[in-house]
Amino acid sequence: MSDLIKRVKAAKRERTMQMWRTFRANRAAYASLYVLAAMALMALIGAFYTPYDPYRIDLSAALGFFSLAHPLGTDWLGRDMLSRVMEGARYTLGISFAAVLLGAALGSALGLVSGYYGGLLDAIIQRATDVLLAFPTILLAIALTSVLGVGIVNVVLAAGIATVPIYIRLVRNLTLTLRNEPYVEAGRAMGLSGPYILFRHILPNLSYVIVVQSTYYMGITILIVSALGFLGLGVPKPIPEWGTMIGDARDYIFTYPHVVLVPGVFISAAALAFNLLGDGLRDALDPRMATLLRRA
Amino acid sequence: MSEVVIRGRGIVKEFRLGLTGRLRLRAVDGVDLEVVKGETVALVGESGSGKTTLGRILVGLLRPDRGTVTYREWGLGGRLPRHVRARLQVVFQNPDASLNPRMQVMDILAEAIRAAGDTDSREEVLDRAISLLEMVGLSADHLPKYPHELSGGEKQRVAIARALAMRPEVVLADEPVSALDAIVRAQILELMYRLQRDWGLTYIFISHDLSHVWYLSDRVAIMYAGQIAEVGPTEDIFREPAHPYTAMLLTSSTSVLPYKPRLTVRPVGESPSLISPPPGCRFHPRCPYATEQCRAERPELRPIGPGRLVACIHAEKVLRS
Amino acid sequence: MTLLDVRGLTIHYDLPQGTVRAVEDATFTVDRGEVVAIIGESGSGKTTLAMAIAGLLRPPGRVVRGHIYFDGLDLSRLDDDKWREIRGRDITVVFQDPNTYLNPLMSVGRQVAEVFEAHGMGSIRSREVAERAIEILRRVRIQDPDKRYWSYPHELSGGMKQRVLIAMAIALKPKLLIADEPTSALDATIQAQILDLLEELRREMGMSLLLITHDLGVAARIAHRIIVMYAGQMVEVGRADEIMSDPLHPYTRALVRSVKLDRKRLLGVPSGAPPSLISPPPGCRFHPRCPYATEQCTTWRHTLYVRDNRRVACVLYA
Repeated sequence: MSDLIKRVKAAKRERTMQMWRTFRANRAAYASLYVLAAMALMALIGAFYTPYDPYRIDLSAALGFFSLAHPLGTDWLGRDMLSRVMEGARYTLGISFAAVLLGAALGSALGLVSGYYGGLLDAIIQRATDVLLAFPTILLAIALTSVLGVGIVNVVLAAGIATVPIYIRLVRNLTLTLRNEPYVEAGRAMGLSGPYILFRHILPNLSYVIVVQSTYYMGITILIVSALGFLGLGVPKPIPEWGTMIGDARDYIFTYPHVVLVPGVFISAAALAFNLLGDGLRDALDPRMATLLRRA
Repeated sequence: MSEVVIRGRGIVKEFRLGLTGRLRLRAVDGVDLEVVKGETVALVGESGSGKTTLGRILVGLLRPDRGTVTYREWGLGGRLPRHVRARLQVVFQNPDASLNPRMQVMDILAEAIRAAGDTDSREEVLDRAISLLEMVGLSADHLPKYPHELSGGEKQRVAIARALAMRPEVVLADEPVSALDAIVRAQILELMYRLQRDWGLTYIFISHDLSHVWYLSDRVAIMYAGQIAEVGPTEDIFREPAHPYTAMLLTSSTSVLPYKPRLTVRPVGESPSLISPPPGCRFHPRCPYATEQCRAERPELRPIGPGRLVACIHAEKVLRS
Repeated sequence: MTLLDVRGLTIHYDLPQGTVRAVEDATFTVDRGEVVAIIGESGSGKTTLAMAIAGLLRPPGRVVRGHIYFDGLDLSRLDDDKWREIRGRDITVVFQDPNTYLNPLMSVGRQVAEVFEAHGMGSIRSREVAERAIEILRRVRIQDPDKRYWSYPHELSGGMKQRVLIAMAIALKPKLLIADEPTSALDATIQAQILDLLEELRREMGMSLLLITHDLGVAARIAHRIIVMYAGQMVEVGRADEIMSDPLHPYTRALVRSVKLDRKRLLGVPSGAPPSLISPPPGCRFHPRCPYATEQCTTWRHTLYVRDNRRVACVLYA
């Protein structure tokens, strides 16, 4: 008896392991995981320790190229670039993460309700989504910050809310499909309640899509947050949010390109890593992949 | 005498199409049907005949726009008490979509066992799950498996076990074997037959394969374009169709049947659009017996022999020819 | 008069998980004007076999051994250019799902006309080609072919689309038409019309028909001979009526029993499912499910024994 329950649990673990193995088989995704872990670690360390004070101005060392003392050089005020990148990582990555979390949570909840219950509520949510989707995400984010004003919380709100309509549409469409799946209908025939079906049968089958999409959106959101910073609409100076750093240094782009390139490379690397990670997660989490592989 | 468990009267179901819902597709158009305890009633027809929609309405999974459906003393249409809802179960066509891909067989069955309110104790749930699997020809070894680790036939067996967990009186089986290979089809049909024999289940069996209908059903309702063309005992109808469409269907079928229908009607044409169906009898454009009256009046379902009803004004002629 | 002569054809798929032995040692002929049905469950290798004969086998699938002689020509040694010439003219294929094979943005008449153009018989724009296309549409019993010429696929029903596909396949009077589950997606009354049409066209044009199907009933309706495949191997070949009334191989018996259903009886069909083709069981591939299996069956080498008009791959008939 208990032996059987053990076997059921072992099979569940084995499935998780299988997902992990599928994920690891995707080299690029696996490598991205290390890149992102390194960046997260950098952000964490940056909160407590940086080689120099990222805000200390030292005009005598201004615009220095890569050196032993300043591995990533210094900017036009002589501030150490490595220290600034480490300090800024917390802002860029943290804000992007919070924004995606906000967008995904809000958008998915609205999409789920809209798709499962339909009716007037669905109609209202969908028309609002139509309007919002008519604007490119970045424009929407810019519009929102100009209303909300500059500030860290406002950047999170702007970048997060800007992705909400995308999540609503995605989750609603999937919910509409899943709602008519035979196993959901069988659940209804068993007399299971709406919320139960929603959480037990629909959400688990959606969640992997939400996770994968959110990973992709992390990449996009990093770019949005940086773009807002670049435009001076994001995190205010002198906080070295990576986009703000580029915007701040744009005058030196032709004469001392490293002041722009260093944060630029970090932004691109983070965005790319999240995209590759998303690909890996998609293959690993999709239950149909396992079936397809078995059939082939 | 025979005890009617489900009674449908004047069932109409429309689906709205297009952005504004201006187009209306009448999937089921004025159907009366009764389901008798312990029998298998087959709903037979081609795509667009309304058989699936009707089946769902009969077990309360869809609400008709007009007409009434009752299961014993309960009206199906609103919310049902849980123990009543449990008595009407379903098995669907596509085994790949019938089971939640993220749940193990154990979880799938445990959910149903708990929903049936049988027990909450872990040990008892496990016991019941094993006995359900054994009822459908599987074993405890299947409990740890995920749906993608099962063959099509095994998935369908689990879906049947899940339905049985509710201790149903009526099971709607919507093309339960059409996605399976021939031998597995026979295995599942045989299982359904055995379960019915041993547990007195009542089946509403939706199928387009006449040999399956022949094997399993006591009565058959032939559906055409949202209406019942003919209903009655399977043997009588297969031997002597009274509706020209039934005869055409029997003539067309590639199913291996023990004998040819008395009347052969060469298949011509296609099923009509349900958005703008032909006036009068919907079959008249394809019917070799069609007359002026067929084009003008919708034929009523009327008795023609013991337990048989037919919606054709020329039925006597069809039977005699 | 033999048109198609397949000898010892063996096809493998090389996959990362292993070699899939999709078809092993297929040997059969199709005469001129004959209808032969290859019947089997999913994974029996019937479609792979048909694709190889039509020259449509793509990697990772490859012919390991064997020959396909068509009209005296060894198809297994043909280069791509020569294949293009033969396929679409002498050998044509009709598939199950017409939607996949019709261009949604082109009128169906022009798609038929395109067949003539592709084989150098005049421009699609020429009046003559258009008239020939309309003539072909009429041949597949499409009503008002000159009007239908300008219809787009989405304006036609599934049965109509299948007729258009058949029109394209017979446009150049092929010697062999391969129909892969041509009616599986269609309703019964439409299926019957399409099968009747194929049979009429075959008789009118004297072509041979190779029908690939999982449905014994479909095969029995129009085929002269039936080839039964199980797990990549031919298990029985014989006249359609004889196979239906007196199947010899235990697998064929199970198959026939599972479609000839008697009312409310226990059927006694074997349990289990076809084996993996990566690691098939040794000996007879059906032995793990076979009620007559003996020790001998685990070491037996696949052979088709001749018995009256039949060939059957089972030691019971050795």
